[in-house]
Formats: sequence, structure tokens, C-alpha cells
Amino acid sequence: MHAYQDMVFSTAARLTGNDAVAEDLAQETFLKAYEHFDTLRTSPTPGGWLKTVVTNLTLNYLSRYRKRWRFFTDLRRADADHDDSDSDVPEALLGCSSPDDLLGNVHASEQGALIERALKQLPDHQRIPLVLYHFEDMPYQDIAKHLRVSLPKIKTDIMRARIALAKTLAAAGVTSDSLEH
Amino acid sequence: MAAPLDPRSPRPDTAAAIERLVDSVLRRQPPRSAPPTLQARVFAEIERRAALPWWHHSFLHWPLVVRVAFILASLGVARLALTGVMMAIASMQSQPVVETISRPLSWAESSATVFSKIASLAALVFDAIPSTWLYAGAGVALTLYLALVILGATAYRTLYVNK
Repeated sequence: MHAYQDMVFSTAARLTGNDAVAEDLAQETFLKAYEHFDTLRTSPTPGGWLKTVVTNLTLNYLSRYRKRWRFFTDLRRADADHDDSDSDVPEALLGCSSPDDLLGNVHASEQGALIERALKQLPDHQRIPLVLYHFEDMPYQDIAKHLRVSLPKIKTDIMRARIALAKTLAAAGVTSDSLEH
Repeated sequence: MAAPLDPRSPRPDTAAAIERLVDSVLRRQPPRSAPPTLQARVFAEIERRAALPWWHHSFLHWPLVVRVAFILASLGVARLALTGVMMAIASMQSQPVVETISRPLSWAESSATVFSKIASLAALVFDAIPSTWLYAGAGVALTLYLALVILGATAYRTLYVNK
């Protein structure tokens, strides 16, 4: 358990954006692993099994949560989607070609926390597909299928999420001076 | 200076550059540390579940003998219920039972006649009301319903979500 607890917790925390819920989901994942201990002990890829289980449990949780609050969250989502300010990309950002360009002025020890905070700030409908795509290596089609959202909407949400994330990181870590070099 | 980018149809070079940038930032991100309480919580829950009596576990985890006994008992109860229903149907065909049932049926028939009279009266009144009034009434009801929903959503967003 010790070897995998960070991976399991990270997956749930990044998808939900809520540490308390992520801890519950991680606990549930390890309890399932305990129930299937005989199978897992001989499995060559227990990490992959755990990753799949925690991802599915988290997506199920998010799906139940979304159904419960769909009416209210959709009202807020519609408001957010009309906000086109997210799609303005600062010229300075386009000059960044590596994470070091983007986060050059942030101390290495603070970069992780900064990125996690920026991820948490994203709305659910942007953060979840972004995490599935970039952290879980899930293709667009599978994300659309899992989240029951159309493929074009998934692509748009991920694009918006990337821009919003890059802008947040750029605001924290990039100065015009560092970009001119 | 900002370069506008439409996320629905982004310029391919810009979109690809941002995708590469974000991907490289996120991929080099190490896993987050799990809370120190997680391991203790998992072990405590395993111990709690192990301490539960067998009948609190799911059916698949019951002892084999109990599972077989439960299935046999369920089959017995199902058979008893079926026999009971068959006996009830057979007894209903006897004369006293038919008479007993027909009494409430006649009462129900007279009730239906009363209801149909009331419905005819309501239809007459309904026809007498001008259609404009009906549309206005429906409009008012719909407006009130929408106002209630909007009020509820606003209260939820103000008092609960933003809090």
C-alpha cells in the first residue's frame, strides 16, 4: 500500500479537486484491493489495477455528484462558457516553449504546489477532462464516452483548461523580463 | 498585449504550442503525497469490517452452509406464497365470496356515476370560461413556477455554493 498510496491519492485529488473526498476514494480503492488481494498478489501490474479502480471510482463519484447538482451547476457552467476572457492568450505565454520558461521565476519547491493550486481553480468540466488527458493518458474519445459529453465539447473544454492553466501559471511564474531572454 | 484564441477552432500552431507546454508542465509533476492518516484509516476500516458478524457482510461472503440454507428457505417461502395465492383464487370462486365482493363493487359503480356527473359539470364550467382567461391563467401559473425555480437556484448559489 505504501508504494501506491501517493499515486492513488493524486489521481483522486486531481480529478475531484477536493482532498477530503480524494482521501475517501483512496480508502475505498485500497479496501477493494484488500478484497481482491489474492488476485493482486500474483498480478504483474498491481499499479495499473489500482489506477483503473481509483479512476473509475472517482468518475462514478463525480457522475453521481453531477447528476445531483446538474441543474444548478449547469446554470453556472453556462455563465462560465460565455466568458471569453479565458481565450485571450498573452503574447508572453506564446513565447514559452518549456516548463522552465513558464515557471522560471518560481522556486522548484513551490512549483508543485502552484500547479496543484492552479488545477484546483479550474471548473470541474475543464479540470476533469484535462486531468484524464494529460495525467491518465486517456484519448479524447474515451474521455467523451466516460463523461457522456460530445467530442467537440471535450476538445473545447480541454483547450480552455490549458489556456486557463497556462495563464494562471504564467501570472505566477513569468515576468516579461524572463521571457525576453 | 493579448492574442485572442477561440478554443472551439484555435489556430493550429498556437493550440499545439499550448498543448505541448501544458503537457510538459503536467507530466513532470510528481504524485501528490497522500495524507499520513490514509494508511491508518484503511487498516482501521479493514479491522472494523473484519469484526462485523457474518450477516452484516454481503451475501457472497456468508458461510456456504448459511447461503445454501437461505436459498432453500427462500424457495420454501416462495412456494408457500404461490400455494396461498392459488388457494385464495380457488376460494374466491365460491358463492359467499362473490356476494361479498359484489357489494363494494356496486358502491364503486355508484361512486363512478357521481364522479362522471361532477366531471360533466366541470366541463360545462370550463367551456363557459373565455379561452383568453385560460391562457392568461396558464401563463401566470408558468411564471410563478419559473419564479420559484429561479428563486430556489439563486438562494442555493448565494447561500450555499458561494458560502
